[in-house]
Amino acid sequence: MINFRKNFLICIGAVAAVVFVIVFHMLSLQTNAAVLTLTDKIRQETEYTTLSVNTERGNIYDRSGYLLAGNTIAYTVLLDLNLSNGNGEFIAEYLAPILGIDEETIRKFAEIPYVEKRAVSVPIKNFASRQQIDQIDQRKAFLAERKTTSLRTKSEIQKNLNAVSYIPNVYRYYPNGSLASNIIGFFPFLNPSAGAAYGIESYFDDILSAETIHKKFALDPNIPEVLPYLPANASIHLTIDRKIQSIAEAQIEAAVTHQRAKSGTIIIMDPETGEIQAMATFPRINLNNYSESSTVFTRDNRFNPAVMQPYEVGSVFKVFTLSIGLDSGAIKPNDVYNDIGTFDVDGQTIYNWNRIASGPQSITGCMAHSLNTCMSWIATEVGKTRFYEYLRAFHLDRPTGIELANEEYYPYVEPGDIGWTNLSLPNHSFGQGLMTTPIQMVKAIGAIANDGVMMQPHIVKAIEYEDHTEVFDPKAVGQPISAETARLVTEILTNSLEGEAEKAMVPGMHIAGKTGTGEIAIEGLGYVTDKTNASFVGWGPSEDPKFVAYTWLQEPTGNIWGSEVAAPLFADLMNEVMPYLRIPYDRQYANDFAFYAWTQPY
Amino acid sequence: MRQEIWRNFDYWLFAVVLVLCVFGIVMITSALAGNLEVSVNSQIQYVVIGLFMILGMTFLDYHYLDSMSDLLYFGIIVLLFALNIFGQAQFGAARWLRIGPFQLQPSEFAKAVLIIRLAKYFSQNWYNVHDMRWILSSFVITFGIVLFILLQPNMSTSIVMMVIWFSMLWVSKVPTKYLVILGVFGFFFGVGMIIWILLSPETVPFVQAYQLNRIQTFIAPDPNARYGDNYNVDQAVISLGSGRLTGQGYGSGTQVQLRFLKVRHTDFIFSALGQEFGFIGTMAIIILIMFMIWRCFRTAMRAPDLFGALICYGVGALLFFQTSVNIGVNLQVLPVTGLTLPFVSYGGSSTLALAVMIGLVQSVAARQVKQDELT
Repeated sequence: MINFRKNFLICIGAVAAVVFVIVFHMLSLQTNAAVLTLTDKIRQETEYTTLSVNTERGNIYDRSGYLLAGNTIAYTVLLDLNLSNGNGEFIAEYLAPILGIDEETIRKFAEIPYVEKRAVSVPIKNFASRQQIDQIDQRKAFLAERKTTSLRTKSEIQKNLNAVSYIPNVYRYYPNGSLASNIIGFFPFLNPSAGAAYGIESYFDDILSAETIHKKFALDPNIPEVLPYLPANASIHLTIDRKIQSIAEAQIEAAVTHQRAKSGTIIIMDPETGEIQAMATFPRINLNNYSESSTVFTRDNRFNPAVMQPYEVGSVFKVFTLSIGLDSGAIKPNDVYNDIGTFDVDGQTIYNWNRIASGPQSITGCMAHSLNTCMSWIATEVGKTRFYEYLRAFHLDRPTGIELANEEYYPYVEPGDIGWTNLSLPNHSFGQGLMTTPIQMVKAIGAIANDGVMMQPHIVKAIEYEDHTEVFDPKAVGQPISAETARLVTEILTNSLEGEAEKAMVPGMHIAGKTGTGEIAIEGLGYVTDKTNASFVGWGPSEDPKFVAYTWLQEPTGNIWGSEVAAPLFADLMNEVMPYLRIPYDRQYANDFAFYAWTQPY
Repeated sequence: MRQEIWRNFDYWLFAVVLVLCVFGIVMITSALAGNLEVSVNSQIQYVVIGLFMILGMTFLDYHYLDSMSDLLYFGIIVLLFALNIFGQAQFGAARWLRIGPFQLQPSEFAKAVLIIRLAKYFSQNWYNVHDMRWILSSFVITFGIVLFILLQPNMSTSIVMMVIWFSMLWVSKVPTKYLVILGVFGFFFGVGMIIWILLSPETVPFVQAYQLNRIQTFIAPDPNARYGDNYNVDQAVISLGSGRLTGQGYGSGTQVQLRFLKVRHTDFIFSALGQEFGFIGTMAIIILIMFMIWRCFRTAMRAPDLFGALICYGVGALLFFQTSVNIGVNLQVLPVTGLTLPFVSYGGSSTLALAVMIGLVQSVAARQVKQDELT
């Protein structure tokens, strides 16, 4: 009555086919090499997990152990989208006053739709403080302890802050903001892969940098594992003194602002050891806001002009010409030069800065009046070969090798080089046509201040490794001139300074020094007269120099002369800094001061 | 009458169900491997209840169901609808119904109801014109239940029900013309769904993210997934592959006893027995289940009337589909679903519902016509 048979035969065929497939697949699974090794493959994948731990970046201290660059823990606040979706209003209401973000923003974050494995959580605030995190925890605990009292609030009670979580992060932190920023450089903690930039941070990046330690952990709880040992990273102690540094920074900031200069630089160095006691520049940036660096600094106005910006120093360079002349024996200290206002080389005429002739002048007078003609004469007397040998001995043809990144130097032309003419020698003798960085000047003049022995300028006093401390001892790198010449030059420049720039004088101390007003050559225009680099170098006390100080204002617009701008800056700076340098005043001055104080009525 | 029932009672079918249940209990005991959330005693209770239900159903003349089928049909719809509403108000998971100490899934019993209702429809219209209207009416009957199953949501049970519908439609001699139309429609429906899923998975109704994920994992497993979505399937394959011919021995399968294999007492019990009893064990189970299915079909062929034949046929088709899908998942030839291995997997509702269905088959078998009378 019912003809099922045909359909059933097809059914049985289907069943047989499926059974056949199953059996066939069973057999292939049991013989398939990929399946038989799958156990080992999964074991390898799941037996161990790799944990990555970052060590902390090394600290930077000043010479007395005052922290200049360290690390801090800040928190990133996250929202778990799975829990926050639909609770945005509630979460925003609680978080907005704590985090200082407006409710609308938080609500938008909270309502970003949850997508498994793709949109799981969203960070709503970086750099939250411990206090903020504590407040969030308090709110969470409070909400968790709520008890329901009525039916109406029963659905409300389920709302909580469980969606809010936070993770601690270690960040580079500069507690003093801009203090010594030009020396320290910065580590871009928001974007670590960009790498440290400038200064100590960049120069010693491989010593300071945090390592990532990868440790394989067995997931088997029966295998005991310990956290990997995290080595403390080396910390660096600088030679700078934060008090002197901050005074210098205040001074250079005032000078730059007052003179409306493009930038300013101060370096103070101990000539006997080569230790940099202060290296202040302006403008500076707050290192915690390091992204400013791209807008504040330009090619003409670099991050740390003291080592990165060679410029034509002008008359300050005459210190070297004088030293070379005396040391080579080409001139004698009591020689007299008759200044007729011009000096001819190959038909070209060299004038003095004020284009007047000052008649017969002693060497001291030459320096006091800063005569270009006199310098050209000395250089000619010395001869070009010897002159440039001396410049090399002063290491003016090479970078100083100070422990700061991105140091630049200007390779000047020497006889034999393309571009060198007979006019180059006299020009170089008074500081035109070659460029030096302030640190090169300080290093070379340090030789004159230190009885002819040139010390390697250094800014790192010691590196404190985990197991040992590497101390950077003073290192002599050459003796360009004899001790006698050095003393003689110091004496001459002490005397000439009174005639040249009495504004540079520090009461109670004899100072040797030289001003300089370097003209700025602009491409296509040549030297322009209204733009200058005003510089001053001074060292003292003249009897036994304990410091070399260099000041430089780039393009001051109030007054363009080094003697009017850079020299007073030096005097103000040294007056304030002297007590911290622990250099005794002149005995006569001290006696006078004591007598004055004693005679004053109370 | 009573003696006639026992004369025609299918002892082979009852025996194979009993063997499968006992084997299932044995296997679950091993597969628990210290899992305290599940107790083998409850499975034993369900099995005992199920066996008595088979006997009870045998006494019940299935012809009563012919008249009761509308009542059962609307009753289960109301139950599913109510469960849907209350379930959503409570937890969001609307599958379970609590009756005293028992937690039951009405969707499992809905399969039995659907088989009865469709058997009635197809037997009534056996001699009517088999046109599009005939097909659509049967589809409406099926979809009336499937809609509420989809709303739970429970995709695999919905698919099982659609398969029951199609197989019963097919056995009722659907003309080739309509078969082609249905095939073309099904093809475009499938392609359309795939395009929809690819374009905007969030807007597809009744489909959950994890279900799409399972399909994606099956088609293109992520090679970098560590504790990935393919973990379960990988472990199932390892279990089956390492079983070899005779298995690692009862209670000593590594993946099972060390609990690498997940949901080993339900969905992946086939893999578990594959590891502990090897190729021989799995073949034995397959042969037993195929024997059970064959007994169902055999009863269908000897049934006294169309209604009974279609019930037996539907039950056989259901057992066959569930078995092949479950084993296919274990063998990594199908994406992961929640279908159980009949009578072997742990699960009260599944066992009881299948027992009811076997009871229906027994009820038909007990009233079978002698082969010589039939022809």
